[in-house]
This record gives sequence, C-alpha cells and structure tokens, in this order.
Amino acid sequence: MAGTFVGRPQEGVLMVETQASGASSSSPLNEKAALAVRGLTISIPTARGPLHLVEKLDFSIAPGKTLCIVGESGSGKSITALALMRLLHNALDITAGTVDLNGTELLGLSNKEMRKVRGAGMSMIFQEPMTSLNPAYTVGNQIVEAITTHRSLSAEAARTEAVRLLREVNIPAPEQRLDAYPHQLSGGMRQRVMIALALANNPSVLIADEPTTALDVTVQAQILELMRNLRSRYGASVIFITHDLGVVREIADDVLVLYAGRVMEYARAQDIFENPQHPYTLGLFAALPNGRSREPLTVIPGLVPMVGQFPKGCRFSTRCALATEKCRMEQPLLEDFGKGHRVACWYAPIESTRP
Amino acid sequence: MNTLTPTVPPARFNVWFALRRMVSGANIYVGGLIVGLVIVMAVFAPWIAPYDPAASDWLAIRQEPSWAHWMGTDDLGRDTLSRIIFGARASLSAGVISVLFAMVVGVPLGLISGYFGGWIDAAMARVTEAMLTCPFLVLAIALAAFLGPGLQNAMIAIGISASPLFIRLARGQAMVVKQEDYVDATRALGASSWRIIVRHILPNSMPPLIVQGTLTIATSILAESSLAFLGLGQLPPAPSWGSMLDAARQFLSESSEMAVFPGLAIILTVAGFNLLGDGLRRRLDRR
Repeated sequence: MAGTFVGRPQEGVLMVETQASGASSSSPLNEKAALAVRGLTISIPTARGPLHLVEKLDFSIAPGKTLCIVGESGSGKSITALALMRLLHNALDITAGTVDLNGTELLGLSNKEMRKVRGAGMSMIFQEPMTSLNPAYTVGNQIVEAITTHRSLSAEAARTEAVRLLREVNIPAPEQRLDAYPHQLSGGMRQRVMIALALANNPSVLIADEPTTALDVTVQAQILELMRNLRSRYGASVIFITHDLGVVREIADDVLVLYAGRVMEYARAQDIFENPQHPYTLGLFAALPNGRSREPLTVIPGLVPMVGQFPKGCRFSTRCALATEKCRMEQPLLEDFGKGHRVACWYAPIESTRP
Repeated sequence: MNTLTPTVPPARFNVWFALRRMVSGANIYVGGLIVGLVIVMAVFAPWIAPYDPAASDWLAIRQEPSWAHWMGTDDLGRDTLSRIIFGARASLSAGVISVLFAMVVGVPLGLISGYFGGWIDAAMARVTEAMLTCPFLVLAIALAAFLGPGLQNAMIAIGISASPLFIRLARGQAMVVKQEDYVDATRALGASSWRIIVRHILPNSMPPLIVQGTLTIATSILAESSLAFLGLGQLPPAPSWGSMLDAARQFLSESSEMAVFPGLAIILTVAGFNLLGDGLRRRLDRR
C-alpha cells in the first residue's frame, strides 16, 4: 500500500505522500502503519484538575490488519474510538498525544478538514444497529447521502453505487431494499447497511465499536464473516472494539488489552492467546466458558474502579490476586518482552501458562 | 385435573369507556371536518355567498333571520351570512399565515439554539423567556398598535408573538434528537452540522411542531378576531368576524343575532382547529 492517502485522491486536500510513520512504530508487527496513535490521553476537566479516562495510549495498525481492543465496560474502549474520530462529547478533552492517519496528524486538523476525514479516511460502525439509522429516510437515501457527502456523483450514479454497496454487504435484492425504511429491516440487515455506509467512501481505517453485541449469535457470525471478507477486499485496517474474546480469536491480528484507561497488554493475537502475560488477561481468559468443564466460570472479583479512584500503582492492583505493595505503589511500564509482546506488569515475563 | 381453568373474568361491556374511546378517536375527524368546511368557505366565498358582503341594502337594516337573509342583516343592511363566509378568509389567513410566519422564524432559531447550545442557546433562551413573560394577546395587541391597523400588520404582530412558542419547542426537540445514535452515525460519516440540522434533526422534530402549529392556528384566529374587534385587524368594509362583533356591540339588546352568528363562527372554527390539533397529537405522539 504505497502512496496511501486520506480521503479520495480527486479531493486533493489531504493528499499525503508515502511516509514511513515509524521505524519506531509501536505495532508489534513493526510494519508501516495506516493508523498510529501515540500517547493519547483523554481527560475530563474537574475543579481539582483533569481526570484521565484514558492515559498514554500507544498503538498502531498496519494496512489491512485488524486490531482488537479488549476490556471490560468502563475501560475506555468506546471513548478511545470516539477520540480517534474526534467525536468526543464536549465535556471530554484530548489532552495529549497524536493520531496519525496515513501521515496526517488528525488532532491538528480544523473541524472542516476533520469532516473530510470522517467517512472517507476513517469511518465508524456503532453498537446499536436498531437506532443508528434515521427512521425518517429510506436506506437508499441514507447511503446516497453518505456517498455524496464526499464525492460529487450524479443522483443516478450515486444510486447505482448504493446498490453495489448493498450487494457488497450481502443484502438480497438490493434494488428493492434501497427503498426500504429502517423499521422494515431486521437488526442484522441494519448492521449490514451500517457497514455499507461506513465503506461507502473507501476508508483506510474502519472502527467497529462492538458491532455484533446487539445481534444474536448466528447473525453475529455472519457479520464477522462479512467484515473479514470486506477487510481483505477493501484493504482497510479495522479497529474492532469488543469484550467478547471468542470474537477476538476469530478476527484479530493484534490485541490491545485495556483496563481502566491503561494498556495492560499489547501483542499479536497468537501470542496473547498462547502466552498471555498480564494477570488481567489471564483473568479474562479464565472467565471464558470452554465448553467442556462443568465447573462454574472463574470471575475476576470486583469492578473496574471509578475514574478518580484509580490506585496509585498498577490500575489492576485492587483486583489482582498477585498484587504486592510494589504493585500498589508503583505503576509498571509497558515493556516489550520480545516479538513486540508488550506487558505492563511487575511479574512479567511469567512462565507460559498454556501448553 | 381441572385446577388450571383460566379465571379471567368475562369482559364487561362498559358503555362509558366505549363512548369515550369513540369520541376521543373522532376528534381528528370532527376537527378535520370543521376546518375543511372553513377552508371551503374561504376559498369559494364568491360562489357560496348569496350576497355581496359589502353591499348595503338600506331597506333591510338589522333584520332578524329570514328566508332571504338566513342570519339576518347588520346595521348597514349587509347580509350577515355572506359577511361570515367572506370573513372566513380574514380569519383563516390570519391564523395560517401568522403561524407559518412564527414557524419560519421560530423553528430555525430553536433548532440552532438546541443543537449548538452554549452561549447562543443561553442568549436565545433569555430573549424567548422575556417574550413569554408577556401574555400572548397583550403582546400581539401592543405590536399591532405599534405597526398600525390592517390585516397584514395584525398577522405580523400575531406571528411575532407566537414565535417564542416554536423557538422553545424546536429547541427542546433538537436537544432530544441530537442525542440519537443516527445523528452520531451521520457525523461519523463526515456530515456538517448544517446538514445534520436540516436533514436529520428537522424531520425528526416535526411531529410535535405540527401539533403545536395546528393548536396555535386556533389561538391566532382568536387573536385576529380580538384585534379586529379593537379595530387593529381587518379594515372595514372588508368583513372580519372580530369587526362584526365590534359592530354588533351597540345593538346587543335589540339585534342580538348580529353578535351571535360571528361569535358562533369564531367558536366553531377555534374548536375545530383545537380538535384537529388534539387528534394529531394522539396520532403523532410516539410515547
């Protein structure tokens, strides 16, 4: 993917020449990144100074790869996604860091320039397909709107393009579905439409915020399959936010484990599944049903601490079975333990726990 | 083995309940019928009216209802029925045009205020509240007196007085609708704020605005009649229900029918629009 660009080439606004966005790339794969995030810190200002919801987040994704961001509710996954799109709620600020999309620093763009990135350079699929389409317009109308936001096509050409997109996401009889209103479609169909909308302008990065959570399991599998196909066809990088490790195993190239706004572990999917290092990651795996044992599932006791009540040391120390005084007092750094497998734990590296 | 027989009591036919259901469902039809009749009257007035509404017949002054003059005649010998039919034009246009004016002014301001929030919203809210502290009719009379008599000025006065209602309603709607997921999704596709307001917030804010608009037409018709009664609305000799009441005032004891029929016309029309608005609310309210 040499000469990648943000937005369409004919717009010419955000053309960016090939730029190795990091020999020092923080990707475990150490390749040229489509998206590189460094030191991203998201804060909420309070009377007693800013509280950091997400702190010093580093990651990058190579073109065509999938990064899964995993973590419990409240760990900062969705906020990270919104921050990348610069769609955070007004009360939240990005207080530090850079977001580099194909060589363009997004946090420095004007609002107008950022609008051109949204949908064309980077787009997003939301969690709730039932409410993410406007009930007042037909599906076709909304896809055409998405297309014409970034491209000047005639009404007819845009409609043809909309039919093509609906066919791409495996919607049967796309010509007829174009005139359907959202309420006439099932949840799975609507999520397909959302994917079509997100792909309408050929973005280089696609953020999917728990796109399968609201769907039932069979539809979930279809949507995952569809996303995998489209990723290879369109060559888009995917950031997949989920708390479902089964989904992660299906589609991830890289995995980032987030806890209370901090990276706990960041590695290639294979490494994380075969050799998880962080006690939190181990806890997540232990909480997975394995389909054989009839024992009750293991749980990690407690809840993610509230923002502002984070411990001084390791964020996970309040719930970690292995926590010592050092863990509680000093924050471990995210360190590379070989092959780009990064862990933030005083105990790392630990012996392989899985055969 | 028959312990699981259903114990639901047999449905009793409740006359009052059934009647209430029927009546409440009929609102929209009754209201629509009355409004439809008034519209037909206003549009086809020259063909329906039996006499010229401005022509005086000096031999038939202040007559009681008869076969020749179904609603009698006024103090200048003009046919009351014809004047009521033509008067529907003033009342209806005053009602509809002033509300359209109020919506054209109020809805965009309200949507912008509710969508962007911040200091724009704060400033707009203060102005709206200031206007709303003054009773609707008092404000309309003050503005009409300032602008001078005439139907057009009356409509502007009523429209300005009604606009804060729409600013406030549209603002509230925008604040609700902007939090919908599809608005976020549209923003994530690169849509501008302007596009989001016009294409996504406005259509989804319409139902309560339509209801409020219909109900405000009733209020505006009443306001126009009041202004005409005070000599600030439709100018004579063109007929207006309000000015007909004004003329009848001097003859209330001798020729009460001069006041009764224009009054009935106002009551029925206002009730019609209220019923229609109420019926629309039942249909359009999503809760």
